[in-house]
Amino acid sequence: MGQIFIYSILALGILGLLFGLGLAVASHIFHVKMDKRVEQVYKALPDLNCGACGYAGCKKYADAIVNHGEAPNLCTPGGSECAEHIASILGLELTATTIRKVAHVFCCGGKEAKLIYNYQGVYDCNAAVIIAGGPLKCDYGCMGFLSCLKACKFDAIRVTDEGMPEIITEKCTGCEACVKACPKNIIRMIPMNASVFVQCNSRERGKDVRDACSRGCIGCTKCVKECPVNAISMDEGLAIIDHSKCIVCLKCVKVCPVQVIHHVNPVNAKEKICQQS
Amino acid sequence: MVTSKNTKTFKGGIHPDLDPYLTGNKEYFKISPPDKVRIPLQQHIGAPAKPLVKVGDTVTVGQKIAESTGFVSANIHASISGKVTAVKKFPVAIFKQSVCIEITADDTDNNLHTPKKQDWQRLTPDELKNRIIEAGIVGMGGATFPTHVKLSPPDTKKIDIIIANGVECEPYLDTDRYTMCNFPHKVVEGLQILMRILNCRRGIIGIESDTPDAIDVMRKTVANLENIEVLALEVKYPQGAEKQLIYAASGREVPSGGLPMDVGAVVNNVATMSAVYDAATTGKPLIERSLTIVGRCIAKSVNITVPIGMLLSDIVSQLGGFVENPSKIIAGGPMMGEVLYSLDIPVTKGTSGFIFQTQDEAVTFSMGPCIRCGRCVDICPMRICPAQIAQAIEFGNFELAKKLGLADCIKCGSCTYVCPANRELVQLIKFADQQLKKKKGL
Repeated sequence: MGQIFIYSILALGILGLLFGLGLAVASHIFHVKMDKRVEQVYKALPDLNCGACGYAGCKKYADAIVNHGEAPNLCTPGGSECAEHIASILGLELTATTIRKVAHVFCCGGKEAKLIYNYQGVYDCNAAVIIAGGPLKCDYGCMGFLSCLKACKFDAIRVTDEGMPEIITEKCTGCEACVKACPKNIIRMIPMNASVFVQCNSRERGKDVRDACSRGCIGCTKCVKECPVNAISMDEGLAIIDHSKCIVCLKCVKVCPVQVIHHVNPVNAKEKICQQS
Repeated sequence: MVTSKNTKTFKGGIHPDLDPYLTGNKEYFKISPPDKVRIPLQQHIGAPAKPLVKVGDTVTVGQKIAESTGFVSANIHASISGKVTAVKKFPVAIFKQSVCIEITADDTDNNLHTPKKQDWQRLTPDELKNRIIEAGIVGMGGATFPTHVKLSPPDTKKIDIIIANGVECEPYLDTDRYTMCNFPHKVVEGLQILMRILNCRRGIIGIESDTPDAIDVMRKTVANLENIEVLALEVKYPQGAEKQLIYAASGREVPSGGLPMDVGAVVNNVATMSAVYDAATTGKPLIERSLTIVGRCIAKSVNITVPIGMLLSDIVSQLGGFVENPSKIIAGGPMMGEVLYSLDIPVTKGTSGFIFQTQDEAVTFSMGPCIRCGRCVDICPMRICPAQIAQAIEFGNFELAKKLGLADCIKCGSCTYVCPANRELVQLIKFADQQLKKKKGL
């Protein structure tokens, strides 16, 4: 009786020894050299996997920085602090510090935008534009079916009383998912410290804009003439503010005849990065 | 409704619950030429045509005003004589706006002068085909596929059957019956012309059995012809769809992702046949088409023949206006048509009718969750599973939807019609189609 125990223990013990030896040999033969820096860079990244850098996730991006010489400042959620951290790990020197970018909805039409028909169907902007480009008379305006809200993974979009999406700058990581989701290209990326916006996206002629919505840029060019630092330019009947030049003198806000240039208090970009890390 | 065991058909399909007031034969109403037409440059599938005229030019009826810009494209001709007053974006059906050539009529002669009738049998197949290309003929059933493309199969594919589609593509429309009853010779000879071009020996004219007068007329016309046959088909929607018609008429099934020419068949609408005959004998370009105006809120429900580019508002005013304000206007049929938001919409080569619905008729509902009853699967004429595809789309999984046969959908609307949960199946599929196209483009 006792022999059975001895034999089985011996047999299993020898088998285990053999397999153990096999594994030991295999681990030597198939050893993969890991770059410790990849792990370090990965830890420095915010690990949100948002895809804003253009890679499939933070791990892929870390690998690309270390092994393929990718620039260390592509991470929008991490911002300049993250870029500096990565640069210090790799002993790189950052040539330019970038101001982090956030999304902004360039339309304030809301209930003022006129409808050409009542839309009944799939509640999605991309589905609504199939039917004559959407129910709004304005070809550039926000229809309010909130595809951007669905696309945002960070809960950074809220809905205003008029049913329009609004980006919560503090929460926006700059992953551009909403920019890609919007069929009308209303959402654009802006520097986080920007505070003056032309809240319209319509490139139509002034009369057509007025016909479609009372809150639209009519392309009168008054703001262009008023701006002391030439920060405003016209793009086919739409005023566009160059935020790198803007000095927030608010002269354009006062001169705009349709009150479409808005001033909002900027969020302190530096402060936000500290909050995250 | 006539249904007998002798009538052929396809698998699946529905019998929509129709308003008897709007179905049935409509009278013909003569429309006088309009003062103004707007002719869109994109009236066909493929590349838009390139304008040959500019603002201020004088054009005569039948003059080529835009030429095709590729193989899958079509010429466009002036439908009235007059002056070009604008070449710019105007509202059109389907797209919000599209570039149109606006012609305002002047006092010049508005009759089309074509050369004397020629015997088409003396022309070679290539000459006949060139005439079709020159006349800018596209499929007039609604899909507006340029006809000459269908007539140019690759050498490896032999076409041995040509089907004239005399089945109304959708309920309420009555234009195909009108064409067959009034111009049966044109339809038959048009079919013969296509058979000559493709060197094909068998022609079929498919007609739904609820239009016995059209069947009688066509049977009489082809009585002496051995190689053309008139087939009575079961009354069912979508009997007029290309792939369903081929199956009903010949028992051949077009493979997934394939074209009718893959099974040796070509399908053309009877109105296209009639236009082919005109182009082959006199060189008359495609400048007018017949269509059905139907609705309870319009003074008359009629068949009319109008120049391409005539505005719907002009047609409505000639018919005596509305008796009640319409709540929904549809270009095309009730199942697949596109809703309009304006009356200033021009008639294009593919417009088979306009439907006006009152407040009561225009159904409004909100989409519910799928209850897995399987009705859409039972009736889908393409034998795909709309419920499953729609669910994949709702979750944003377009790749899965593609695997489940999204591309096979002909968007006939049968599934949306039968769905007890009011699911917008076809719109979801259209949405996914567009999203996949966008992804491909990036």
